[in-house]
Amino acid sequence: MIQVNQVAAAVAGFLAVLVLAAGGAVLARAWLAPPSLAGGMVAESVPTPRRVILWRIAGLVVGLAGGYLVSNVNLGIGIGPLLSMPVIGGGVLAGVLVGELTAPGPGRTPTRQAQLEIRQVTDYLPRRMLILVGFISALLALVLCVTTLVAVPDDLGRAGRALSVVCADGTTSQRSPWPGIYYSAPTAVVVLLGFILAALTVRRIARRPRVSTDSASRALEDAIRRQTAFTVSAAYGVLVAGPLTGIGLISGLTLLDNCGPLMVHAGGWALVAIGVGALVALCWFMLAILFPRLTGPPPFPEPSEG
Amino acid sequence: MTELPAIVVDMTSPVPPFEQIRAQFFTLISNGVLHRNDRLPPVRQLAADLRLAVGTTARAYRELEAAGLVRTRRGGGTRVLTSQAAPPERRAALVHERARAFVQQARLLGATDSDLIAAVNDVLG
Repeated sequence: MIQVNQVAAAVAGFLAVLVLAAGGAVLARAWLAPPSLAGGMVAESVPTPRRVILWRIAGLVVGLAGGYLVSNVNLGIGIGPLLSMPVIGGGVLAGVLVGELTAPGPGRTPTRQAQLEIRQVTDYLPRRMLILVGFISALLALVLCVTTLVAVPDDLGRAGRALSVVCADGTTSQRSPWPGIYYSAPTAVVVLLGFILAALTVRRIARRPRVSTDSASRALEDAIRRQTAFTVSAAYGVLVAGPLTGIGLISGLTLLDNCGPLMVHAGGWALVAIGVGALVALCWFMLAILFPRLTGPPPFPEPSEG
Repeated sequence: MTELPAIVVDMTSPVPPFEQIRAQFFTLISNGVLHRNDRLPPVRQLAADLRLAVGTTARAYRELEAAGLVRTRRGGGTRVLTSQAAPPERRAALVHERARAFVQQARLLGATDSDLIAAVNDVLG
C-alpha cells in the first residue's frame, strides 16, 4: 500500500527535477543566445560560439559532479569537502580551455588577413575581479602559512592537524581539526594546478586567431574574449575562495572555542571574518560563472560618439 | 578613423607567403607607417591569424632582422629599428600610382566611375 509520505516524496522529487530542468533550460538559453553588437547589429562574420559555450556548460557539469564525488571520497579527514570547490572551479576552467581550443578559427581561404595588433592577456582580463582574486589568493597563502607554522600533530600522530594552546591556568589545550600541513599541502597543490590551468586558458583566449579583420567583427570578438576571461577569473576565484571559506571558518571557530588568551580569540574572530568574506566572494564568483551576461563586463561596447 | 592596414597573404600567388609578409612590413617601415620602436605582432599570433606555420612568419621576421629593419629581443618582442618617414609628396605620388593601377585594372573589367567609387567606399567601410 502506497503511503502518503511516499507520494509526497515522489511529487517533491518530480518537482525538484522539473525545477532543475527549467533552471538548466533558462541557463542554456541565456548562454546560447546569439551575441549582437550595440544597436541590435549582429556581426555576421563572427559565428555564435555555440561550441565554446557547450564546452563551458560541460565543464561546469563535470566540475559539479567531480566536486560532489571528491567531497564523498575518503581522501583523509575533511580533505574531500575542502577540495570540492577547487574541483568545481577546475572543471569550469577545463571546459573553457577545451572550448577555446576547439573554437572556430579563420577559414583556410586563398586570401588571408591579419590585423597589425598585439593581443595581450591584460587586454581581456577584468581588472576589478583580478584585484579581488589576487587579494583572496594572497590571503589564502598568508592564512595557510600561519596555520601551517603553528600546527602540531593530532592525538593519532597525524602531522599538522591540530592546534595546541597554553591556557591562562597553565594547562595545555589541543584542538582539531586545524589547517596545518595535513590540509594546507593538498590545498596548495590544487590551487597551484588551478593557477596553471587558468594561466594557460587566458593565454589561449588572447592568442586564439581572429575570425575576421573588419572592425565590427573585431569589436564583437573582443567582447566575447573579455566575457570568457571574466568566466576564467570567476572560476579561479571559486578555486581560491572555496578553500579560504572552509579554512577561515574552521580555524577561526577552533580558536574561539579555546581557553587561550584574548589575542587568540581576536585571531579567531579575524579568521571567521575572513571566512565569511570569502564565502560572500565565493557566492559572487558562482553567480558570475552561471550568469556571465548579468554580472560580467558590458557584453558589447557602445559605439563611440563622434 | 584611419586604421593600421592588415597584412594580407594571397595563397594563390607564386610569391611565397613569407616573402609577401616581409615585403608588406618592408613597405610599412620604409614609408614610415610603422615608426621606430613600434612593436610587430608576435610571430605565433600572426601565424595563427594567417593560418600559416609559425616557421613561415618567423622566416619573414628573420629576413627583416637581417636587413636591419627590426630587432627581436627575448621577452620584448620584435620592434622596428629605423624610422624612415616618407616625405608627404612621395607618399602622395605612390598612392596616386597605386590608384592609377587600380583604375586601369577595373576599367578592363568594364567598371564605371560610380562602380569604382562604390568599390572604394565599400572597402573603406
